[in-house]
Amino acid sequence: MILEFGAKNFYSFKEGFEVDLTLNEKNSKQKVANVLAIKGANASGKTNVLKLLSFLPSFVKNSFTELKPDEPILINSFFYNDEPIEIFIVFLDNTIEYRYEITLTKDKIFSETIYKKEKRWTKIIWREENKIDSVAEYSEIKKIKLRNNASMLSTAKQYEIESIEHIYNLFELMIVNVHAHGRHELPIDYQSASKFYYDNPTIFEFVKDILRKSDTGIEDIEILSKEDKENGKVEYFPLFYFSKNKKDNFLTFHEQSSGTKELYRQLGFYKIVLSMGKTLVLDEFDTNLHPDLLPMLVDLFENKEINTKNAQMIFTTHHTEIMNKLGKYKIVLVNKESNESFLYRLDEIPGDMIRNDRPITPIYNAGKIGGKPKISA
Amino acid sequence: MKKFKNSKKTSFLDSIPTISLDDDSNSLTIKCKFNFSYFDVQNGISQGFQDWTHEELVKLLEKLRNYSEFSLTHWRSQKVGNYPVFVVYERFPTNTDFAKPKHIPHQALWARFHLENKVRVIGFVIPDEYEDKAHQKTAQRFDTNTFYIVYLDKEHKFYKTEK
Repeated sequence: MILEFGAKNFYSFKEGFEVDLTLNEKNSKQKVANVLAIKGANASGKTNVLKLLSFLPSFVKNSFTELKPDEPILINSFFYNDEPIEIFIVFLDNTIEYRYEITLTKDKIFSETIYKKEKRWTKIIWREENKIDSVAEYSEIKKIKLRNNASMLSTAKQYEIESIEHIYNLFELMIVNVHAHGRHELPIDYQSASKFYYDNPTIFEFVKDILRKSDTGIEDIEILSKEDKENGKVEYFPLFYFSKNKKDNFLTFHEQSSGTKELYRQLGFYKIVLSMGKTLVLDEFDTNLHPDLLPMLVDLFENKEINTKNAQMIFTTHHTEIMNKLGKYKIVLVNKESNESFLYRLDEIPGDMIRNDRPITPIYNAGKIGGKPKISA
Repeated sequence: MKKFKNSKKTSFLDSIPTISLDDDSNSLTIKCKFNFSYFDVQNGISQGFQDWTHEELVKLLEKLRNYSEFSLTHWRSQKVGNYPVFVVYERFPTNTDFAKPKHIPHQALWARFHLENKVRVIGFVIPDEYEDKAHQKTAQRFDTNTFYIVYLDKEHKFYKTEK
């Protein structure tokens, strides 16, 4: 699980931001949020918050193989200044916490540090420029040869160092629909999704079940395959049935509403994330989806009977009603002032404006707690 | 380990008002109110606003601002020199230069605020039995903590037996 992450001099954040998923709600057994919504006006910097969760796993795991030795790192500082960018993330792995920190520019890594917390925080592996050091338990990593634009974990992976495998795996946990230039579709088209569902019946059942509950009128879905005679490739495509009798009332994928198409492609990811205890990171999670569907999708993560592996969902949204459902500990607002972004969780709002016994939306809509566009007349 | 501070976040959160009507210590409900809707002038006896100098009007508003900090009950027990700040006479005085007006509800309890020397503000409050009672038609609640100002009495002609 992700407990916390933050950055400084990162895209629209000149100064630092920290997103905290730990809960200090009184009388609550839940210590870490399974759901976090990030709200803010357009261009406030919401997507930039998620860029951290897109950049970090990809860079930490793959920079050695994905970047040539002299290639720049795909990251931007505040208005492209030359000062270093600082990033951190904290994970909870069973009962042990790990914290990863990195300081870098587009051209080089200045430092990386990994801390571990059992009873207290201990620095376990660290790097200054291209010199690496560690505590005895991880001493095998000292043999690796670092280069300016590759992370120590991606480099160590090439040396097949077993002792760091569990730390490396922490960064496997995220599925993200954001990249350096903004939102992108989840990396799957409907044909790949169809093949995936064809091969994974359990996931397919989950997808069908949610689509039925979503009032799409869909009764059943069947995945058919056909072989392209020219190249011999097998293509998979779904047929959507709208009556119990499969013979009539069926439509193809292209005839579905954009909301149904989006759900059909997305839902497999929800199931993977839920069954593996991963974190699903969705920029503009509600695009093409009717607002009434959002609480149901959020419930997949909030419901302890469905979400048995402590999967998490972190998303940006323009949907406002969801705030009342989530409450102040699970909403972060992003504001921008003089072109600099800053963010805060709603429980940081001082005074009693935000209370558990009152809905948040009237206060938010009245512009009292920020995170709304300031529109000039 | 690093902590990422943000001055813009801090100043934004600092700018959010924390005083609330729901605070135990909030005193908004006990502050007395002044209402001018029954204001009237009796020629040669009481004065209109235009009869008072700018300086006198400023003093009046300053006093009202000061009095509005606390409840009417509070001011009944306060004194300026030998005079109570606020007195409820209950009846319209007999020893007075004022004629009893007809535009005031008959339940009115006549009262006055002391401003300085001879200067008084005359008006009325409503009886305690109306406390927290809703009007039969409008359903709005009566307020016994409002002073309805009727006259400006610069020469102390309303209740002449009071020194």
